[in-house]
Amino acid sequence: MSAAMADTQTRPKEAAKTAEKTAGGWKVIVHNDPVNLMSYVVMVFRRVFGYSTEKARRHMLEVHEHGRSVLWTGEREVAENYVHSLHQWQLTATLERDEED
Amino acid sequence: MKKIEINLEQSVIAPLLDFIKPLVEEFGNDLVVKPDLPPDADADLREWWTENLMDTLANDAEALMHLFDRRFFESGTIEVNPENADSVLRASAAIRLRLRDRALKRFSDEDLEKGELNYYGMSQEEQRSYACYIFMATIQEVIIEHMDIIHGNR
Repeated sequence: MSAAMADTQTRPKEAAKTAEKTAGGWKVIVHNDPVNLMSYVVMVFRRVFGYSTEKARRHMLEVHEHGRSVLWTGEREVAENYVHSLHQWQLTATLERDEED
Repeated sequence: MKKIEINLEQSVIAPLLDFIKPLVEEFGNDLVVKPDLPPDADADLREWWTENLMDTLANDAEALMHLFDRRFFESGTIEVNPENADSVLRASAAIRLRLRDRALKRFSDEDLEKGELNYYGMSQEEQRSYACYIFMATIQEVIIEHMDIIHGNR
């Protein structure tokens, strides 16, 4: 079980169907906000994605300096779980189809 | 992580709690971060997503307010432990976001991020909001710092 899945409840079957219909690469994107502390964002990235402190900090700085960072790319259902988990942690996160897919 | 006990000055914090409480009571039916799902996400997923976030937020808010129970009013001490730490961190983030949206909107992102706000140039409501905003950040910083010490990330 991924770190993100551990923090979410069971999803409806319909969500799984959606994922099957649109299988392919999906990006988990976190957007900058002026409120959440840098240390908090690093902690969330470590917790949700299981990233090292160094990698989490790199993504946090990318969000801070460029307004957004792609945290993860892969199957839609997994990406949805990550985005949902990030929303639980009060971060602004979106799901986008990977155009390179 | 082990439990952390934080000693607070009751006379300073109690008025902030009165200010925070009405905000927190809204959390059960009003999300702070509005989920932005892809257009093709179906209605069931949207409904589940929103309801789950509301439940999480309501539980987080309850855990945060529970810190300020009888013990706090008797001794000024709050206790954060492995059972409530995540909820306290998330609820603190939600309160800060709500305060930013409600009462600190006129300040620029840059000034807010740098903490370069003129406290004495603020209205009374802005002062209270900013005091709560800083208080919530302090609670978060203490918990995260403690987690970092435990996990050897310093």
